[in-house]
Amino acid sequence: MNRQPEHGPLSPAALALIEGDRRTAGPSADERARIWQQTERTLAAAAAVASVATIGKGVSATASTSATATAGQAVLAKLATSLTAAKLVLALAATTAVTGATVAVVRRLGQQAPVAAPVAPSRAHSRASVSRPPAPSTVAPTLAGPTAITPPVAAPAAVSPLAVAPPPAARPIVAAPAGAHPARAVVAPANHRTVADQPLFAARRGRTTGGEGGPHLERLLLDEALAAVKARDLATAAALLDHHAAEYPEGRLTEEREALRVSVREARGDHAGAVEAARRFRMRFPGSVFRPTVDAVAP
Amino acid sequence: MRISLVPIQPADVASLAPTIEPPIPPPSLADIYRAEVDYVWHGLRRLGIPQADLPDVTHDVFVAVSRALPRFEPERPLRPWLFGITYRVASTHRRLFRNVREVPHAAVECADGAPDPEQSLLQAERRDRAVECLGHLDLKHRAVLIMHDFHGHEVGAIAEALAIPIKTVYSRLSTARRRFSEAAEKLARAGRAEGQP
Repeated sequence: MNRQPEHGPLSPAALALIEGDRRTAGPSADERARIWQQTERTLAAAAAVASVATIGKGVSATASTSATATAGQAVLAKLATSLTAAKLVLALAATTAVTGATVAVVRRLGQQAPVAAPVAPSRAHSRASVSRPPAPSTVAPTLAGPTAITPPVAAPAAVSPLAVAPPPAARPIVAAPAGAHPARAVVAPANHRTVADQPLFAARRGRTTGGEGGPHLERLLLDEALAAVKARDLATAAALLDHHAAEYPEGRLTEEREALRVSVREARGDHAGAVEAARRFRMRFPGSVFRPTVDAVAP
Repeated sequence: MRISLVPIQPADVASLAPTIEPPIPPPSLADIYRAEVDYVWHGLRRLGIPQADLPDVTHDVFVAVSRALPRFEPERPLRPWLFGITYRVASTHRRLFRNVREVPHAAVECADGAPDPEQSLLQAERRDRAVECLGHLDLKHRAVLIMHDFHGHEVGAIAEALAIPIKTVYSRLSTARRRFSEAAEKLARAGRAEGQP
């Protein structure tokens, strides 16, 4: 028989602290909705990056086959001429696409579909494991655009991620004055920034958004790039990524953009460019969630 | 030796047949998020993730959960498995950011939405006291204490979630309880000296 080692009991003060901590409120409804929305987008972006990697393998295989079949100086010279002409056409098309996509993005501002966030019921922390609803929901990451999930149980409250109105009892964020007790927050004025105003990753990365369109336009630009990837229009995708980089060099979606850039370059046959982009990505974002995909595409 | 040959009835055959239960479908990520976002949030908070970073790190946990979900066995309890992922994500977060910048604990304070600001402050103080005492423990001891005494998980489940032997769980729990109790008593004495409740 295994004898279990003894472990001392908790002191009354420790038990009181644990009891008090168990009554602490969790994230607000706005925070839940925004975290879920960002999680969906990250998963969609990861799926998109992985799908571009698949395209890249196809392109590489096709390129090597056709190169073998058309091995001849005359044919190669002809091919080079055609490629130069094609590059010009692609450059023109990409420029047009970027302009068109930007216009489309601007038009779509304020018209985004609301995202249905799963509503977490308020639960006491108990030993119970998760209650599984009868019909499982489907969370299918899509390649582009705002996504919505199908709720498995009662219809969740639809929350528009781009126009979140703070509830009457919204949590005001107040920076504690230097030297003050951290918990002694000052009551925020009516026009103070709330949690709902803060971009999800702003606190951790401390980046400026940049660009005149703000975070929404930044998001939509990248969504357009993802849509171009989905449509196998890699030239437009690359052009949109460049455009995004020019507009938002230190934007909040830089990590996502640079991961996508690696895959797009590889898919277009620019292996050296992909490897270089991957190297820069690893240096810049060592703990990125896109790291496994980037490593798989350009080790 | 006599062997009695009793004819086998069809009902007996049916009773001998193994009952095949339909496999439990794994929960979807949306299901888990809906039911357990609070659990993950509080787990991270107790593991020492600053308030301002909680949304980001909660996001990271659920991205990790989505990757690990195909390996989850639905017959097993979800929460210890979820805490194992939460612990690893929190550990990575602390390791990556510890040398980059110092984050003063609760430098950005969020009121909890209570209608009464006084109640709100009291609750925030109570919460901070627990986390402050947990801060006297290193992460591996803290994780065991949180799982056992804050979340109420069994020792076996803790051992499995954190991939450590059961005896190690007991050892860490003993040390963690002693240190946490000492810190709590010290804090209580300091509070009494200042006339706080």
